[in-house]
Amino acid sequence: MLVLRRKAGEAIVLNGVIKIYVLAVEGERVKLGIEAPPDVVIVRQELLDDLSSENRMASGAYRPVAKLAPRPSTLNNENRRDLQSLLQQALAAKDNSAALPPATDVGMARTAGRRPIVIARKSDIQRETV
Amino acid sequence: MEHPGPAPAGTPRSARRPKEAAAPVTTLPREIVFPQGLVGCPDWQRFHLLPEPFETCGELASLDLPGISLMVADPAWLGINYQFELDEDDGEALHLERAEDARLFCILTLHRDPPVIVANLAGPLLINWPAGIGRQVILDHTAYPLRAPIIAGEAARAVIEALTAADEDSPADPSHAALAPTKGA
Repeated sequence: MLVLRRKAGEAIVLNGVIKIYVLAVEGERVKLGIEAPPDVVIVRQELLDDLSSENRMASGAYRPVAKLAPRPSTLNNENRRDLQSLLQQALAAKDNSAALPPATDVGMARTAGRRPIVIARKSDIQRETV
Repeated sequence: MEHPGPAPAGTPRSARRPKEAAAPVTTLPREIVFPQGLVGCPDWQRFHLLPEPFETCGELASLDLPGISLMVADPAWLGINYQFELDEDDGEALHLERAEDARLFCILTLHRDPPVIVANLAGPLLINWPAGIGRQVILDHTAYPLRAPIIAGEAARAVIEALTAADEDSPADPSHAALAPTKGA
């Protein structure tokens, strides 16, 4: 691994196209600014780790004892069809909305009815600039 | 030029109704291929999407790895207002030419104690529906959480109990044994 020492305000350039600025050092936290072409995917390492373990947990490959219910793969065909009505019933249950944490706590917008999924292309969206 | 009499012998009745083929009816499960696998799971590539026909939720069952199976649901059906930008990479990887060809699913995880069913909104599965190609999209820098509770409390307990009962009723699959936790099992 290449190790570089940089001060706040300094930058490094990768491949001539990706520029990483050290904007500020605040205690244990380093604030970075990244300039990169739109096709460069920038993602936090911990999110990759979280997604990986969440995938495994959801698949039943990793199941903390007694914490998780069985995977749906053990359902027979009839039950697979029932899954939809089972979930529908639960979603509509009166006590469900009361038991759920407020939408703000989970950082999501919850809507009463169905809404179409909107998918916009990245090129249509202005990247946040620092 | 319709034949006035009965159909000639040897002509299957279905062959004479080509216009009704608009809504394909097949009993084979739809195969979805994730060419890059899922995040952190590069060998999870070929899945069957069940049931067929697929409506709003069901199971993505691995064709290669016994015991690997994901419960998935359409987030719109779950009542989640989901909007995000699609990376050009994602569109290209899926050979996606029109947004209408895309279908989006969230992976659901059941947690028993306390009973809650969560949807993974940070890593949804985007599928080019006509082509059967999928990709797990990584939504960093968004407000969508990894574990968004969608069903909790008694409602969740009821679902989990129903699924548990289904599990106990079905015969044990020895292929799952290697993946099952050994401690306390």
